[in-house]
Amino acid sequence: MRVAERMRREPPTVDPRESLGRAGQLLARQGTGALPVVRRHALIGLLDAADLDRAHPSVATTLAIGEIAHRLDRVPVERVLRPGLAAVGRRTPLVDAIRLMRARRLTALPVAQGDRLIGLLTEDDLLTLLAALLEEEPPATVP
Amino acid sequence: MKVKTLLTRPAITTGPATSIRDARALMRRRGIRHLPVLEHGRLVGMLAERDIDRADASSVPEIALHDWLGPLADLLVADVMARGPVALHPETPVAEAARLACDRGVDALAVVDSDEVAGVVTRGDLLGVLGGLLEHRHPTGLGHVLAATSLRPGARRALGEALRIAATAGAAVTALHVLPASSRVPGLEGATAENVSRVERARRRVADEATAARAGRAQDVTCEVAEGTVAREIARRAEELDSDLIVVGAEARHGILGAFVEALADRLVRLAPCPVLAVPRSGARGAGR
Repeated sequence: MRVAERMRREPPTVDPRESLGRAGQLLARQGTGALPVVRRHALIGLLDAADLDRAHPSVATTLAIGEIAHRLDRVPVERVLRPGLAAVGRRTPLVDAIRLMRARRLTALPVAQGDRLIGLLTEDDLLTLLAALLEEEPPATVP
Repeated sequence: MKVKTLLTRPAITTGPATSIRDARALMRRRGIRHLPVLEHGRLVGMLAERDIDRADASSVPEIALHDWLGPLADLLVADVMARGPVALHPETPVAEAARLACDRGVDALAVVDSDEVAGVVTRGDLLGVLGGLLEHRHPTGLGHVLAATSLRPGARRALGEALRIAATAGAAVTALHVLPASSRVPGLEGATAENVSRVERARRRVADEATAARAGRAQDVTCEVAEGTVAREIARRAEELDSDLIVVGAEARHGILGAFVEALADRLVRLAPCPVLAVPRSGARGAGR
């Protein structure tokens, strides 16, 4: 099984100049676990919920709730992007993509052709696949 | 397969009164990102590394400026953990755990046996199971079968053969019918209403054929219709779908038309990125010999 069979096509993306506030809303709405960061059609990074959690003010912040939202609206996504981008091609075996996701602790894996994003492999889709494979009837035995 | 097979023992846990600094140090030392929180031996919460990240000082300097570091040093697990964690019995099937992780949107599930915490199953553990399954799944190297059908009487045998091979090898299967390209008006290319209904009608017929060819077997078949030159479209889809095998009906006919149709398998062999299997139609002379 290859990546192309299980990836989401045309996944939601975020521009590196977009604010953390907006990115957080988009991520919560899309449920893809992470958002590929795309600048002028080129994939440049991946933003996940953990990145947003790290950027979030601490519980001991002196900022009021309204101020927190205001601050997060002024920080662009590119400020919290981690260096190093992992991506696979559409013909990559799914097994290898999963190994990469586990090793790099990625909640989603961008699928690219050159530097262009063509899909996204999400943890939820892979877990759904796992459930489906396990619940399949065992192959009929030859009498 | 049960979740108990995924647990490492003894379970690594923490308590509500532990400082988040100590909890984080424990996670780092053991290379884990989730800790069940136990109070008097009972599960009261789940602590994720992300919960600590969110509660801790911001990674953005101008926001961290407002983080008051004094109280952060005193934060306890009980202050940041998720209460009411999702808990499973050790005998729960792994499939159910995977669905639950998706439905509840959680990264880790606690495994509890009569009030005693046996461990944690994380999304990473579940992906590991999937990796192992996939690795052992296609020892034949057959991951995808593309079954091209002409939808003519007698073509069902080829489709049935394709589905049977795919089921035996555990391969995914796509049934494809290629419609001759509709005449296009320059400047008016693409989806006219008439064309859409033509494609949709054909797709439904492919689905019907697939249902019949499945012969009662529970098997997922993706049904598709393409437009264009038959051999070229089949080869193109095989390339896109990364098919390992193309199955077509070899519909031997008489006369000029026969020669044309029979040439499909020959043309495909030249164009296709993978092997091509030609199956004689039902009742064809020489079939099965």
